[in-house]
Amino acid sequence: MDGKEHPGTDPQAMLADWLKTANKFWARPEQGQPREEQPGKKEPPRSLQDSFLSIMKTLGTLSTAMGDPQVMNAAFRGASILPDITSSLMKSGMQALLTLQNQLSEKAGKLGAGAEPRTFDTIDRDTLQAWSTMYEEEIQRYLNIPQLGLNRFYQERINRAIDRYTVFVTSLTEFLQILQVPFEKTTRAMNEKIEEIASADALPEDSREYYRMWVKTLEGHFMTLFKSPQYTGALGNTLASYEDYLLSRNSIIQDLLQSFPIPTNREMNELYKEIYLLKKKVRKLEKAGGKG
Amino acid sequence: MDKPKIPVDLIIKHLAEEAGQVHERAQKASDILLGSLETEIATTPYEVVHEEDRVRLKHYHPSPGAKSEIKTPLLVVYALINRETMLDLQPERSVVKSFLQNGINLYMIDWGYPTAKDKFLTIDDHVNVYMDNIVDVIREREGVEKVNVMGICMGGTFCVIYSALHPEKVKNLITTVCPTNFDTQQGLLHIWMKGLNADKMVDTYGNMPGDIMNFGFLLLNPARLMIDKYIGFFENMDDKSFVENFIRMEKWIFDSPDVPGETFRQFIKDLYQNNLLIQSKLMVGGRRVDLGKITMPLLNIYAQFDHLVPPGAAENLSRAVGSTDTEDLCLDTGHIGIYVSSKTQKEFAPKIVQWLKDREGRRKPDHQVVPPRKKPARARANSTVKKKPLST
Repeated sequence: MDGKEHPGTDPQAMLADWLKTANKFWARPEQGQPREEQPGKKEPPRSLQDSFLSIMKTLGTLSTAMGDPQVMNAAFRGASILPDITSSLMKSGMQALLTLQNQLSEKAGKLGAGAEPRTFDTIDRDTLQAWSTMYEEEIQRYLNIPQLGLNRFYQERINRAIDRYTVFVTSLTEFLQILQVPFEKTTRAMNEKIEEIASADALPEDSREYYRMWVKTLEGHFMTLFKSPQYTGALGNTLASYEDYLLSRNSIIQDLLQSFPIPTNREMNELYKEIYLLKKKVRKLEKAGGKG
Repeated sequence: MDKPKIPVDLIIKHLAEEAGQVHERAQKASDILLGSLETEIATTPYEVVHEEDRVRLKHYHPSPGAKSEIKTPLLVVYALINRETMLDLQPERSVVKSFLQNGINLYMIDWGYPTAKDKFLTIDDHVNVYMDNIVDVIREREGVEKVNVMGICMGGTFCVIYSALHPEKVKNLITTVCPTNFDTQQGLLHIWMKGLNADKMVDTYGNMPGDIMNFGFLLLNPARLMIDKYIGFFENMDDKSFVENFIRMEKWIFDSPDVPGETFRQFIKDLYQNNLLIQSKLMVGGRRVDLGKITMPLLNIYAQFDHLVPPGAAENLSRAVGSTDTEDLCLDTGHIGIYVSSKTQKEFAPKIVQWLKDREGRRKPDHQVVPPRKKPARARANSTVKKKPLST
């Protein structure tokens, strides 16, 4: 690049030319069709035409204003910020992705290293944590941008459902990751056990004996895991995020159902409650009547 | 260091033998699975004598030739989780059949399958409306003032509440694997329930889905319930009787009605989380459930290896009630085994029959067991309530 703008491709010059043409065009309808007033005859209202001419006039004014070199420069300064925003967004997203990639590489290098039998305080959650942080910092906030206009409530509910679904999938992945830890630990424990009994020349000949040993060890690891705060925390998060997702999904279904000629869940619930309360009242009255 | 001697030759020999056996077993299994199987459950004949909303009252036909020494009818109240068909799972292991053969006039509640319209039903509706109406129907049909009541698991909790609120209608109370003390660290269920957000669950689901609860129960012991159980099935697929009984159990265990939302909410919050029942502080239908009002004889049966209702959740009841005739019985089995294992079949139903026979015609409770009453629950924990593990 020589740093010189070619006159034919200079965007500022091109815009100036275009604005000049547009200015002439917007000005034409008003100038080209002067109203002719006939004496003694009242002109009928021409509201549509007047409105059209008014819009044209406004656009013409705008076009002229935009043609001013100072205004155009200011507009270009504003527009030049846009690529900055995009690159800033991409930079931030790339950084988060790189963090996630690093976590995955580290995890791959540490496979099996942290599987201490009978303890659940070293569960590797870094990778998921990295994804979770990336989601919260880079994606979630865009779904929480307030929506505008007539459809704002509907759009917000759709965004919320997308957000809740992602949070649920993250929690579920974490929960499943925790559930596979006993298998990892059992494999390690079994290796140690087999080494031990092999050195004592006491290896069982029946393959089912190995299975029994494995399943008993696995059961023990699960029992230890189930009492750990990590597990109860992950279970609680998974249930809560699933419920959040269901509630947000139901609100979208509710919106959709409203356009069909069928009762919505909310309406049916109100009806069920009314029937329930009425039945209670009737039973009470029946009892009172029976006693009387 | 010497290298350990691994009998590789023997292991390979055994594996080869097993591979042959597996092939043979697979052939037999395919014949069995493709042939006709008898997997019906709850085959003992009955008649539906009362219906209210989704709830039905079953009355079983007495066994021909059975001596009826117990005139007082017995009402069995099952839990809202899973179904009462468990008591009649297979012909040779049926508590229902055992009762009928011993001349018991047997009624059983079928809670049915709650739908969305049932989500507002509370414990009060189940106990003070459905159960109370059913007891009145039996009293009228049989011309008796009182009935014997037997509760299973959550149904036992309902029976305890009912007996405290309507003691004038209950002659004898039998609770089996019945949770009444929820302040225990025995069993994962009690630990998990403490942190459960019941409000959010009920607000989300309406009724608590049976499938989600079943998944929770499977998670209590995934190694056994999701792996070992099915390995056992594959190892015994060539045994027709085993396959039939296994399928019967599968049919029952995954037949899980939803639990009405408001009942679930109250059960979790008032019982699992605040443990109000055993302290006589539970409010049902605007009335306090005072366990001191349970003055009828009480037989409390629970299981040593119960992972859902561990002994710590069941054994305090007899010390909290007002009755002077109480008996605790701890069987060395699990939550379901108490009703279906071949070993307990010889102990469970016969014990109940004999206990009822002993109290038939009796007007005042005897003093077989006389623990000191009206002491704080903690102090009474060591009182000398009879506890007789039959199988040990």
